[in-house]
Order: sequence, then structure tokens, then C-alpha cells
Amino acid sequence: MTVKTIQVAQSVLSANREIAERNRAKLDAAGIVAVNLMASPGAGKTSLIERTIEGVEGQLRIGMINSDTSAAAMDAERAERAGAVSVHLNTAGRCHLDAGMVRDAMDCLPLRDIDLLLIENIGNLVCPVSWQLGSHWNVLIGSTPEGDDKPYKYPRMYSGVDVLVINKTDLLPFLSFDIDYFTRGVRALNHGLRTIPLSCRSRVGLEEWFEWIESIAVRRTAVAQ
Amino acid sequence: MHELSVVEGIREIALRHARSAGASRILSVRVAIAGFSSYLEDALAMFWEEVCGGTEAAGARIEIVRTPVGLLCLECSKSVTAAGEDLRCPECGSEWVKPIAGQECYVESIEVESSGG
Repeated sequence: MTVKTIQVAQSVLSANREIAERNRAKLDAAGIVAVNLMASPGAGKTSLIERTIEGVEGQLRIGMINSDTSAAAMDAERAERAGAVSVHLNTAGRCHLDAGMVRDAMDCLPLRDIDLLLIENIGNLVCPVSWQLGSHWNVLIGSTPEGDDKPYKYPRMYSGVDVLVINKTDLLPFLSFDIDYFTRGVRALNHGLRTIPLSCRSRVGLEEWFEWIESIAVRRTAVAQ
Repeated sequence: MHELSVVEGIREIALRHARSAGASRILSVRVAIAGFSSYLEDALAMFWEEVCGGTEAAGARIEIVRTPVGLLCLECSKSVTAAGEDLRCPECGSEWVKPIAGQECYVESIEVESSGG
């Protein structure tokens, strides 16, 4: 009987990363730009998705992966009603999407008929950011009622995203949300992060979001040709 | 609950390396976790016992070491190590820092037992 130590030095997330890379290659081959939308529950992911589908109608064909921890498919139904091709992904209690789930969901979508794939992650500010999906962009949707301390409480999330949307700006007059304190936290974690304040309800600020969405999709199409 | 996915990943890596070395049993696994990550050690240890049952890793110890968070200071351009939870540059005190994404969680080494060898 012998005992020995084996040096391993392998990332636990490497298996996920490999699947994410294959997802990315498949998206690129189909000329699709994919956006991973992350947020806490109730921040307005589905509302922003509905506004986005309406806002880019006639310019971009949208595919959706809506995830939930249960079989309740109302988010996917809302996206379908707004005009997207959608698949509902039930994670059966798991608190984040991983690349394998997205791979399986992509198999259910008509990739040839999609320009922009919106992936609605599980409402959670902790672990989704650790799991690459193969998407091109990671977007965090924050909202003013969550409070101005969120960057300090969820540093991994705030430091790991490419764009930050701040939803529900129409509620600012009713809240004690210190925008300077919030911004200092964001800047410390993710300097230069593109931040788009808006309100899905009043529609103020949505134009900047649509412009960003159109810019990433158009740029990808230009590269693909 | 994300600790469950993580320990499943740790188990798979450990089993693969143990099997390719012809080992019959895994005695311990050493795992490094970035100080910035949200994995709770207690939860990892609890799920670890759970997922290893019935495999060569059954009963194996899990040792968790925390690795410090690396920062790039955008003010003084130095690569520095964060002092605990404080994410300001320890050199110049600037808040303009960028956490340098490291390996979130990786298996450093495993200790195995081989019969006969």
C-alpha cells in the first residue's frame, strides 16, 4: 500500500468553460450575438426584455432563453407575446445557469432565424457571474429600490459585468438612494463600466439601451460578413 | 446551492486524476479558492461528504486554502494584493482598482492510496 500526492492544478470551472467556448463558437458560426442578463429577483429583467423586443422590432430577430428555478413559464410567455422566439429553461432549484444548460436550450432554438439571443439568468447576485455561458456580453440589471449598497455587497457581480443597467429611475424621488455612494462602489470594482440608467415603466433612458443593443448586433454582423 | 455544482466539479477532477494514476482510494483533496469568491467553506465540506459516497473519494478529507485577491491599481499602475475585504490600493490608497480575475477555484493536489504499488 503506497500513499502519494498528485499535483493537479486544475480549475473546477474548466469543464464549464470548455462547454461555454463551444457555445460561443456555435453562436459565432450562426452570426448571433448573445447577451447574458443577470439581476436580483424583481429588478426588471423580463420588463427590460419586453421593452427591448418592442424597441428593436423590424431590425433584429430576437431569441430568448428564459430561466426559472421552477416550471412557472410566465416570463417565457411574456417574451413570446412581445414577439421573440423563446425557450423556457427550468433549473429545478439550481441558482444559476451553466454552459451545459445553455447548450441544451440553444438546441431548441431556430438559430438561423436569430440575430440577438437574450439569456435571462436566474435572479441572483451571487453565483451566475462565476459561470460562463458562451455569451458575448454580461449585463447586470440593478434597480434603485435594491439600495445604493449593492456594489459593496456583491463585488464579484459588479466587477464581472460589461454593462450595468440601473432600472426604476422613476422611483428615485421616493427612495434614499445615494447615487454618488453607489457610483463610487461601482467605480472601485469596475472602472469605466458603461452604465445606463433607465426606467422600463416611464421609458426614460431606454433609447440609450436600444442604441447599445443595436451597436453590438450590427458590429457582430459586420464582422461575420 | 452553488457549492453543490462546485464540489461535483472537484470530485470529477479528483477522480479523473486518481484513476489515471491507478490509485484505489483518495485520502484528501487540496482546493484553492480565491478570497473574492462566494463559496462557503462549511457548505463545501457538507456537500463534499454527500457527493463522494460510493466513489473512490468516499471519506476523503477536503482542505480548503484561500488565495488573496489580486488588484491592478489604475492610479499607480501597480499589481497589488488586496488587504482582506478592503479593495483600495494598499500602495497609494486609490479606489481606482480593478480586481484581476484569477482562478476562482481550483484543485491544487490530491493525496491517493494505491494497492499493491
